[in-house]
Amino acid sequence: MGLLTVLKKLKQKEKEIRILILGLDNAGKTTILKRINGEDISTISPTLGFNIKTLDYNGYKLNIWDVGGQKSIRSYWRNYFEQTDGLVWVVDSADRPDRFADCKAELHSLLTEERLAGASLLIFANKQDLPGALSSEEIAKLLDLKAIQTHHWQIVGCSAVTGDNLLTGMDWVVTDISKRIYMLD
Amino acid sequence: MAAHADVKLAAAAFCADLKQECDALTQTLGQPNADRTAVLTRLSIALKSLTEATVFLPAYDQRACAAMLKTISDQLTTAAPARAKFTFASRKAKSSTPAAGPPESAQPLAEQRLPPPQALPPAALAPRPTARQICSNRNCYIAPPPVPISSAESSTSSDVEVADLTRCVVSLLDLHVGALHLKNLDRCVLVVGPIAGSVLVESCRNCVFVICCRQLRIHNSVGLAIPLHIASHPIIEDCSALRFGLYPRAALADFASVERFEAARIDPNPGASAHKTVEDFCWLKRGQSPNWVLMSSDDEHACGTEAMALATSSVVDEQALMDSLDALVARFSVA
Repeated sequence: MGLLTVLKKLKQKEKEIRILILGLDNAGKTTILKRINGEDISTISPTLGFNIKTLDYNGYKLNIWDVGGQKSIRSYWRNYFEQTDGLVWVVDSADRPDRFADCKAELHSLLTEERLAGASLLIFANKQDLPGALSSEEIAKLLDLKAIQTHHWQIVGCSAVTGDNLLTGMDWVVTDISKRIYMLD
Repeated sequence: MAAHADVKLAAAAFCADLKQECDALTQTLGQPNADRTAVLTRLSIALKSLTEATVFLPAYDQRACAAMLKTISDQLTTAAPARAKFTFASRKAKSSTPAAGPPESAQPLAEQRLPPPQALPPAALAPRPTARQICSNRNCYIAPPPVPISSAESSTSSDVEVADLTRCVVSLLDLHVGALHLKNLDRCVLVVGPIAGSVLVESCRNCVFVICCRQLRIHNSVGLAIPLHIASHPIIEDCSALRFGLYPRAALADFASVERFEAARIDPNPGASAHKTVEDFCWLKRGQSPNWVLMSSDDEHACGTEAMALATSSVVDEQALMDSLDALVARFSVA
């Protein structure tokens, strides 16, 4: 067995992907995480700290980190940036207009962060099941996503409560990351 | 914990400042006739501030900042006009030495990564038809006309925003609310039936809110009394003098019927309510936060039923209503 074979085998064993879920408070980050993981979503409290879930997905091991979005703990987000392969930014599509400005500012400041430079960016336009929800196109416009040239990005309208489109989004982010990291396989 | 948050903020602010300064310096260096001594001075000042900042700066940021400054000082030395070597070459050859311009490779990386300027989309949003707004009013009784709860599904509920009210009684009992945003309310009493989604309270003072919901977040508020039934832990941030109690279900009668609880998918059993486990994001230590208390059982009962009575009263005399509003606020929610 050559060295290359040994290395390849080692690498195949641990196809790990680290995903960070961020967004303003009340966006539905924890609900998305629990929904994907198949847990009960009826008694979720606002996150004080963070949640981690590890799940197997299409042959990859996803380490998903969901960090609380309250204003007073947003300054701790930077502690989770290291080695992030994918960033999932969650937006409450039915939010107040003034909060979209906050949301845009927070997202664009994240994108200047050096440690997130290589990460794929998935934007979940969550809560599409609510009657007042904006469409993903409208949200892309509000957040000025077109201006993002530093990251691969994609916006997906979804609903964590009904589970719609969550897997579409996760598929995109995992595929995009694996193309980048595991392109040799 | 507050101190830690400050340190984090300070570190972030320091990094941002330093990055800005570095960008400015690389830009200056990129210009053809840059004042090198000035750049050098600014660089040494930045270096000094970095040394001072090592006290609170995390190791990663220290390395990152040092690397940024190193790049600049490298650029400064490589971009320096090459001192003419003393030789006995002829005059002609000497004059042909090109004036040292900034080397191409010294172009700042950061500038290349900046997105091209783009026109911002118009910030104005068309008002959403499904979102209700109640705002800018004072000294009055507000009760939106009932909306028929036909299918009683959460998908038919709408978001309600209540903002900028002073000294008002607001009854949302007849509405089927999806999410409730309360902002800038002063001396108000608000009563609402079971809500399937969340309630966000921002910058409210001296109010009584009777709330039943899935999630509750309160920011920047002072002096609230909140009889509450909630499916998850309520959280508060930058608040003080908050009082929580039990939701007066009995007094609410039909408005808080089991059917309405079920429509909002909330367990109607008072024991299932998490209103006693308030989490204060500004008090991460062990032990009771000084920013909130639980009401005594007498108080929570009185507060809930009186607020309810106000919200459902058919009193025509506005003065009497305002008087009882003042009395209620003074008794329960003045900090």
